[in-house]
Amino acid sequence: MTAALRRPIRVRLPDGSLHVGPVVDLRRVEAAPDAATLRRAVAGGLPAEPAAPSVVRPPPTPVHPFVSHLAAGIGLDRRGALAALARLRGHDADGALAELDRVRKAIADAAPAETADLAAARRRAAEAGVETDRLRERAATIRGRVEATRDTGGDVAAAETDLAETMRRLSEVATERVAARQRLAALEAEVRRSRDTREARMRLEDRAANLERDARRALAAAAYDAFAAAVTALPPTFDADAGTGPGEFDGDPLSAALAVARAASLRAPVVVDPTVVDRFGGLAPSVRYLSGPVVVR
Amino acid sequence: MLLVVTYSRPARETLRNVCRTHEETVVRRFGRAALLAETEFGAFLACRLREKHAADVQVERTEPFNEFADAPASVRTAAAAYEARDSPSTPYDKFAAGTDHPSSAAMRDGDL
Repeated sequence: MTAALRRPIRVRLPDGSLHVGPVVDLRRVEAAPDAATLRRAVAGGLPAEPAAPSVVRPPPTPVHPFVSHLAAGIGLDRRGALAALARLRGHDADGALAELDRVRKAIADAAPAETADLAAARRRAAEAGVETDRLRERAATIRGRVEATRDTGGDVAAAETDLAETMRRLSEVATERVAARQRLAALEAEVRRSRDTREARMRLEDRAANLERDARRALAAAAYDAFAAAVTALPPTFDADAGTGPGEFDGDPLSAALAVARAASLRAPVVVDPTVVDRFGGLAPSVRYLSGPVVVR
Repeated sequence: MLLVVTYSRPARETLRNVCRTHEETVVRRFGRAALLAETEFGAFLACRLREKHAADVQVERTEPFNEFADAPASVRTAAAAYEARDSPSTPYDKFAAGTDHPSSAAMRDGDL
């Protein structure tokens, strides 16, 4: 028996019953919660609420989330799972991960300074412009009226007062407009400078994305032999073929997840659906294949 | 036209989607930038990008450059003369020295 199996896991159900062992078979336990709840309990360890089950187990590795529930119809991010598997086995993607960390730190450092509210400045400049145009038109209209009144020998005093007031207001608004434009120009210059930082950050983000892709590819390739061996060890009922590279796997996601789980030598339990146990031809061959603790539900 | 330039991956992605969906309004696409038609819909798309990505989006309003109206005759003449130079490897300032053509430094300081 492997070291992982020697250390038993303890599953306490909400009804208080305790199930201990490298294998916890809940197929005939009526009070057992559903697989999703058990899976959360494995991930979380201690119960999040009194009514939830608790599972005492060694801490799950980064591979665990990919394979924590093994049932027909599950999805699997195969490259992600293989990358996690490779990291678990000590691969560092030829330094790409360290480089990625450096780039991510540089991205954090390259955060552009908050730019002042440019939209508000644009709005003020636009409004000042509209108001200036409006007053200018109004002044022209009144001036026309003053002249017309003067031509017919009428009293121009009222219209002239009106004109003086409009001109005074126009001069105020024109000053505001100049100020608003200067403020906008200054802010735009500031934003223009911040664009260099933004552009540098975007280049770093692109570099991080490329490194991430390369690292995932390298890691998936590094873990492939172990994965392929596990696929080959599956019973014929799973009808899966590993091919010769990460892109060539031919089979359902469940088969791939089972193989990843086996290759990862898990110490935290996985939740296995009874139909999967049946496909292995029973509990013993399932547990032997996974070579780690199992909760059947 | 409206020139839209993006400065982050999410903003670039949004611009890409906009360009794919509204080809009729996109006059030209360049990687992370695009020229949008000067229609209300072009403005609508620019406003949406600005709304979503704030300072990660730069929007400029462009107009055609008429060298006969927008550039001084001295600049225009200098460009024409330089392009007609005898020796292709002569740098501009060497070409302009001792002629009436403005120096590159003088032109750099001169606002249009």
